Amino acid sequence: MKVIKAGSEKGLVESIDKIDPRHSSWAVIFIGLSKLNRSLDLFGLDTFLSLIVDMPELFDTSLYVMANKDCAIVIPLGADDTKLKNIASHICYHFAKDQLAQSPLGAQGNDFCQIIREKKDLMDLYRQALSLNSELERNAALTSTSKNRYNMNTSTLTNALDLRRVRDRLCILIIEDQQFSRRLVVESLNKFAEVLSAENGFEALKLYEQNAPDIVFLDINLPGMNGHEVLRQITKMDKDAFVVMLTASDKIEDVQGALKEKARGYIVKPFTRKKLDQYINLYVQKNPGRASAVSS
Amino acid sequence: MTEPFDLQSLRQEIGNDPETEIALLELFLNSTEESLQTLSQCLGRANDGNDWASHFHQIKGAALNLGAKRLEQLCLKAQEPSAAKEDMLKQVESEFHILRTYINEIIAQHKKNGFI
Repeated sequence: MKVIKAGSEKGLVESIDKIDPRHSSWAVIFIGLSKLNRSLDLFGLDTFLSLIVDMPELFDTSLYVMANKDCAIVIPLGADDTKLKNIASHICYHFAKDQLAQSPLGAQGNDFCQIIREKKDLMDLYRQALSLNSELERNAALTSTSKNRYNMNTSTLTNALDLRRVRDRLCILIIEDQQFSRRLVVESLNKFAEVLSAENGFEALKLYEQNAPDIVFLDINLPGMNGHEVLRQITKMDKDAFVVMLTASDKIEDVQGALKEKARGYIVKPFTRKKLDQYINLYVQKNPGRASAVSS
Repeated sequence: MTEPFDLQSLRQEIGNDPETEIALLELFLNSTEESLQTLSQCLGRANDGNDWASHFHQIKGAALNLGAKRLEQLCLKAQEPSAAKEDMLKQVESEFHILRTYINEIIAQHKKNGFI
């Protein structure tokens, strides 16, 4: 079995043309790698190859391995469709047994074992694999950094808190990952307040630090750093923070934790202007100095 | 059959602003379409992790805020562990198709009135 290693899409297509011009179909096995967890070397692509090198089905094939820092694609060339299917499932089996459980794809790795017939499809699959890997990395980044405390800049926050006292309009921060819901609240409120928005916890904390909004509407379910953690960080930053939780559930137990963490209340979807106004009025009652900042 | 969502409620929330109304409705369509595409891809996978539930949660949240009750209820059903995935996705897609047609008519009316 011949193993060809290369690092680019262009190289892949050129190699397929050069080495195996007779064949027009290939099995493709995608191995997702994560920059956060391992490098190609650590992951042991060579180890993986050593597992399969003695497979009888691969004796008369070329094994093309294309790998870069993000993913590897292993392509047995030079076999008919039936043989390719067998090769692919054997490789996936060996791979799943020893390596797949550790990869960011987990069991999904089996889904990237396909017979394809067009070079365009091969490139599409490669890009799809890269995109999936990026998404996995992004989610892993959000999750891993959520375990770290947000590094607050105290002087930035102090300046923002001073500004809050004299700002001539209310400043409201909406933290909600669902695009439409977020935009709806922004449009409901922006005629009478300055409205900031964030789709995740880290963006939200940065905006809070820079702007010290009067009121925060915070979704309980956020990707990465969840709403409860964001609430904790905000109330730690600012003892006077006025945070109202947003939830899809009307079960009080879902928000009890947040209420204990000093949320001022909660709103159950749908987010109507009436519900939002209820808390805006409550804020003004508790902060009469800010009453002049409210205009309808 | 009642309208697929409550347009008057939406207008009450955002004021009588056709431009904002169109932007919001288009955002709803685009974000829901994206979620539905991802859900289709989930169907072929043995282990889709939290993708299935999380994307239906997203659509449900948007539907709830739009006032699209039928879509919201279908998404709620689809999140149940016993739900037949393919069948539920078809039902949701079908309801979304009705919504999309209705929304496109609204947008077309605004165009006719010269708002865009």
